[in-house]
Parts: sequence; structure tokens; C-alpha cells
Amino acid sequence: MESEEPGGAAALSWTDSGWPEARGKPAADSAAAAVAALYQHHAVGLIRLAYLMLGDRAGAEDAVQDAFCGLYRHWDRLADRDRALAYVRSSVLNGCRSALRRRTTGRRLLTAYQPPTASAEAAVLGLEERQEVMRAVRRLPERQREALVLRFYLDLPEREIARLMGLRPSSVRSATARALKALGHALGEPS
Amino acid sequence: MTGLENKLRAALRDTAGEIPDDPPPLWLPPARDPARRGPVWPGQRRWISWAAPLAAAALVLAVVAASLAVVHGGSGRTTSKPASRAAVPPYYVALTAPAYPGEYDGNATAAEIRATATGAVLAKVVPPKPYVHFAGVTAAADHRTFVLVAEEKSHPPDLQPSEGPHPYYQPSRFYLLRFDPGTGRASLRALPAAFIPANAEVHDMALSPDGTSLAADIGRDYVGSHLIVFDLATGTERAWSFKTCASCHPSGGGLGFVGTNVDALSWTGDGKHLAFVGPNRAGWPSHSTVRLLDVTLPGSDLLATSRPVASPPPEDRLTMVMWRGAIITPDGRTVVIVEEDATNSAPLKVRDRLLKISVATGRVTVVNDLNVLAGYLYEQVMYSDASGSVLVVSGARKGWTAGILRGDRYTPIPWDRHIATAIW
Repeated sequence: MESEEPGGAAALSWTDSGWPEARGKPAADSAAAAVAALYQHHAVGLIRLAYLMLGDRAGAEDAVQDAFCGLYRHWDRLADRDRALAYVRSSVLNGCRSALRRRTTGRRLLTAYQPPTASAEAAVLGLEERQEVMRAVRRLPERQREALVLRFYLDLPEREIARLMGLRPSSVRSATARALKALGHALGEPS
Repeated sequence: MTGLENKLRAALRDTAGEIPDDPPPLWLPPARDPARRGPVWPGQRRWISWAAPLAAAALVLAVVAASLAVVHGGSGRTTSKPASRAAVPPYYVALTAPAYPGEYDGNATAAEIRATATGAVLAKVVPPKPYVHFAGVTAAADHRTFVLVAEEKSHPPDLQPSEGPHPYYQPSRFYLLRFDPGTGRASLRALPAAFIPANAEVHDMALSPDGTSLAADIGRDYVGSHLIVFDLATGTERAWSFKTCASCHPSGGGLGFVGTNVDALSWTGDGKHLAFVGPNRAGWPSHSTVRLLDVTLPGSDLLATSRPVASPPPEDRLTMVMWRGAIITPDGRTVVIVEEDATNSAPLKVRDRLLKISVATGRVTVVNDLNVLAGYLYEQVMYSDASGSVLVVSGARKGWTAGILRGDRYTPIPWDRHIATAIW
């Protein structure tokens, strides 16, 4: 599979792991090309992930931008480039955590957060329910929210979630179970 | 898949769909010369330029011995103890926040010495500048000596400062808190700043019964893979570590529980053994196991110098079993566990139980069913008498509660929603 850098300079090939390799280019150029290609293929998904964590599109785009800049800066020291997507995904999550910490405390989150809505969907009957779910998700502690988003949005296996969150799988299970319990409680769902 | 999970999945998918398919252009720095430190692309903050003087200032401030204005509340003398509370020490240290909103987020703004019987505040200390909140507390067996960990206000940089995707941690420092019940006064003394390295977090800690050693899991990830015991008299330290998985991210394993809990690390009464949660064998990941480290043995391999004393039951397809707290009783004979059982399929049911497990046999000897719907709160075991026959637990009943558990008998104690955690 071929892919092009946005600037169109580098010829890229894809490894079995889905990671693009640049050929015949100086290190800096190939790094930029590889990072750009990764961005091209995964930026939207990562922005959506950050959006679910932050509820703020601009903040989500910043978190992803910063993660890719970090990847580019550390490219030479990245031991396992097949894990670059995992690295950048982990960086996005860290960026979201930092952004959330900057918003003082959870108290502000409880009062200030308004679930994002698209005006075109405003008339849709299910919107209110979705907003209610997202409000409840946003009230969850950061770790529980991460676990839910990684599992129910990205459909990642538990082991990968544990790796991304730097937790043991049992802690991921615990966080997920508690999040679902709290969510059910908040939404009045029978548990 | 339950109805709730379907609803959640749909809400996440629909909400994520509000982000259009065309991402904004990627901005990369024009050159990757490590000598160039100036941030040149949008969104990056000049964290390096202010972090250095800030770190230096924090270092200088940290060297100055801290003395606090102690806010006295009450006479300092404890009230007479009702019979039901007789076995529990008369006062405890609670980490409190003025508007504690939900799950403990580490932002306690004060440490209060409170009377067990009445809940009255006997003395109160606040974090010395530049620190702004307390993130954890642990106690010696004299119930007058405590260690707190204080943290500065968080100023995370936009970019992660380390080589890997580690989160940012604000500077923090240990403080020794002493309470004199005769005068009702409390005093804080800073412990060496070097105990907690830069950009690292104290995950769990436990003060030895005689108050001379502080055990802590300090790291740069959510959970670490090493344990340090500081000698508070000499300032020296001894470290143990393990690594069971070369490719594990980020530190090759897990230790303890997430958050600075009071029931994750614990000492036996002789101060020679330390209970912690780690892997049950070298092939991590596997079930979490309570292990007992003999700190008198030579060596630094955390697995080789410790032995498993309690393990969760094997998982089955119907139930998930999680251990969320574990302490060893001072007599070293029993491990007290906070266990959470959750069904693996719809309808989701979660049950919290408190188990006592024999160290000698590894078998469960006592089961206390706790509240089946405790909400978000993590139950904690905040005190155990020598044998574990008397415990103080929080969250065992609905709402913001704590009480004394003597056998099956639960006696509530005065408690309020400002208390994040406490230690006796």
C-alpha cells in the first residue's frame, strides 16, 4: 500500500504492522514523512478519541497535534516503531489528562461541561438521551472514562487498554466495571 | 452486550462523529536540532524556560525547614470513648477538601486531626508553600506520628517532558506530622526533598509501626515496579524492584493500587515485613497477589525477597473478581482484602466484600458483605487492630460513611463528605 506525505516528497511503503517506512531519504525527511503519514491515516480517529475525553474540539486537536510533535521529536529514540501508533495514542491520552488537570478540578467539570452537539441533529429525538449519556460519562473519574472510551469506542482489547493506561488488566476491569455501575446509576438503568 | 453498553457505544460513536473526516494540517517543527529548545510550532508552550527556574525555586524552598501555622480546633483533648469505640485509637488524620466533589482526586487542601468518637477537629494543618494540597497520608502505631505527601499546584507543559509518553507530575514532598494530644498542637517537618525525584508521583506509602521507616512506591507511571524504604533517622534508602516483562509498557509491571491509598502498603507490627500487591509469579501479567517482603533479607529483587500470601480465586466466565485494597494485620497472620465482584454478562451486578485471608494457609476465613451499591466511592480499610478483629472502614454503607467493623457488627462513626481518606 502506498501513501503520500502531505507535501508529496517521500515515497512510503507500509510494513505488515501498518507502519509506513520511508525509503532513500535523509533521516529528518523520512521521520517527517513517516510522522505525517501516520497523522494522515490516524489523526481523525485520535481527534475523536480526544474529543470524547475532553468534550472540546479545539482542545482535542491540540492534544493530537502535540502528540505528533512529540513523536517527531523523539523519533530517533523510538525503539519500536511498530508501536508508534500506540505511542502516539498514549501521548494523546496523556495530553487529555494534562488538559483536564488544567481545568482545576472535577468540580468545574461537573458544572461547566456541555456535551458537544451538532445543530443539524438538534431535532433528533435521541439527542437528549445521548447528551444525558455523555454528561454521565463526563462526570466519571478520568480513569474510568478513559477505560470506557477505549473499550466501547475504540473496541480495544483489555490487554491493550491496560498497556495504554499503564495499568494492570485487573485494574482496567475494575475501572470499567465501576464506570458502568456508576453510569447505570446515573442514568437510572437497572444494574 | 447490555442495553446500557449499547446506549454508551452509540452515544460515543455519535458524539465522535461530530468531528469531521478532514483533520487540520499537521504542524511539525522545521528542524529537529536538539540544541534548539525554543518552541516554534503552534500549541507548544515555553515550559522548559519556566520549568528550570521554577524547579530551582522549589528546590530552595524545599530546603527551608517548613513550619506551619497550626489552626487549633477544640481543646486538643479527646472526649471520653464510648465502649463500642474502645479498641479504636481516639483520633485520626483525615485529608479533607472544602468542596470534595466526587471521587478523590488528590486535591485535599488540609489534614485534620479528628476525634474518633465525635468527629471534632482537634487540629488542622495546611500544606506549606509552595505546596497546595495533600495527596496521601500514613500513620505509625503510636497514632501520633504521621507522614503526609504534599503536592504543588499542577502546571503541566503542553508537551510531555520525558522521552516516553509519561504523564506530568507536579513536584511533591513528604512531611512528618506529629500530634501532641496533651496540648492539641500539631507540627509539620519536611522530610528530605530528594526522597521524591522530579516529575514522579507517590503511588502508595506506609509508615512503619515505630515511625522510623517510610515505605513508598514512587514512580513516573500510574503504577511502578519498585519499592523504596526510607530510613527517616538517617535519610538513607533501600530499593527493591522487579521487571517481569521486557516489552511491558511503561515499567514492566504493576505494584499496588492506583491512587495514594491507605490500604495498599502495610507493615507487620515488628516492622520487618511489608505487604504489597504485585504479581504472583515471574510471568506477569497474571492475577494480582498480596506478597510479603522481608526487609531484613539481603537483595533488591522484589520478587525473590518476597513471597505470595494471598491470591484472588481463578477467574471464571461469569464473574470478575477485583481486589481494591489489601492490608496485613499487625500480627502478620491475616490479610484484609476489599474485594469487588462483578458479573461478566448482563445484567451487571457488582458486589463489594471484605475478606480476611489466613497468611498461613492462604484461605479465606471471614467474609463480610458490604454495601452492594456503594456508588463511586472506593471502600477503604483505614485501621486494623493487631489481629484484624476490629477494623475501621469507609464506604461500607451508602453515602459518605465510615464505621467500626467488629465481627459482623458495624458501628458508624461521625463522618462527612469533606473527608477524602483517613488513617488511624
